Amino acid sequence: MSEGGGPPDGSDPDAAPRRLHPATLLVTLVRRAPSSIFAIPALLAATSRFSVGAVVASAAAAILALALLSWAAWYRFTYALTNDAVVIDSGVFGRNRRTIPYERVADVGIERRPLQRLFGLATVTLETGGAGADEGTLDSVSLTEAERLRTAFARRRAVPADERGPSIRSDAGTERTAPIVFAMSGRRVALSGMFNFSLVWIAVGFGLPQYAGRALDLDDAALWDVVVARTEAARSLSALARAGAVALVALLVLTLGVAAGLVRTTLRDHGFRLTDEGGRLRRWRGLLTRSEAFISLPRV
Amino acid sequence: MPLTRVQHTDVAQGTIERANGVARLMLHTAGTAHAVVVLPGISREAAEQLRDTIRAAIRMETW
Repeated sequence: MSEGGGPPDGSDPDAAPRRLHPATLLVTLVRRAPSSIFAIPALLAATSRFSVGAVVASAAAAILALALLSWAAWYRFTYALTNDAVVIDSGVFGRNRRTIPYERVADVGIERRPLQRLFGLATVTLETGGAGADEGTLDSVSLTEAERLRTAFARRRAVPADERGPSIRSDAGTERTAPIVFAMSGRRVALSGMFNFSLVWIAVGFGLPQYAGRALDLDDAALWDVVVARTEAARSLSALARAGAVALVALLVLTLGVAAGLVRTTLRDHGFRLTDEGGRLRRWRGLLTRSEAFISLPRV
Repeated sequence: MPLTRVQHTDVAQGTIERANGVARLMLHTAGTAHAVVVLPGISREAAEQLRDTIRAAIRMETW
């Protein structure tokens, strides 16, 4: 069966289908590794009747199959910039060809998570202004490729739409020289973080004693006996001291909540910057995960 | 569904569809409710022709 589809223009180097960066496989592997731990108990339960050799062999076979599937998915994923659209082919057993016309690509977002930054990769998101999840995502390409894609899209978008004018040339240059519309200093991020109180710690504070008992190999009754015994001793203390203890715990939870909110906000919004790129705003933010996105002013 | 509302198109084939030489054309529109219109069971050439027609119609209008 022919894989024809839209004929790419052979003379344009952009039009040749490209694959994602090979390091994507490594990143995917590392990302999925923690969840694969859950497979171990299942595996052990299923094969407890067999010898150790059979267990190891079946585990190795499963890992091999998974690796092969990941490689096949990587091999089958290609993207190409044709005359009027970007074509993304994907799928191992079921094939899918997504065609996104340049006119529909509102912006090109680049996100770099810490693991990706280690390898010099980035996730490119083609935002269409549609239902969020349905746009094109290239996870992951090298950073230079991501920048190249951004300029390629800007170039192709600027051609039919004359009203935009000669706005975006080399993005590496405008990154530094574009006027900053809004920037959050460290203090502002910290202030914002303090208002993002995290209620998670209240849940942790109440949930931990429940699970601590199990972890310490005590059952619930034994744990509460220990607590009650301690509080029996505490009952001899004055009411003020007890109130003080409760207040201390509340203060601890509050502090933890504020700290957690602060950390989360700082991670997300560190270095928040809005630059004016001639008709649209570019937003930078993030400490570990650097993300760039565009906000088209007419769409605000 | 107006052609100009189409954001992007997917031509998809599951394994069974590949065996029979048919495809599914999915038209994604802007918005969150009923955002995808699926045209199942058309031949691959027909799907691609449709897609090209829609692309030509989209090119008339820009952001």
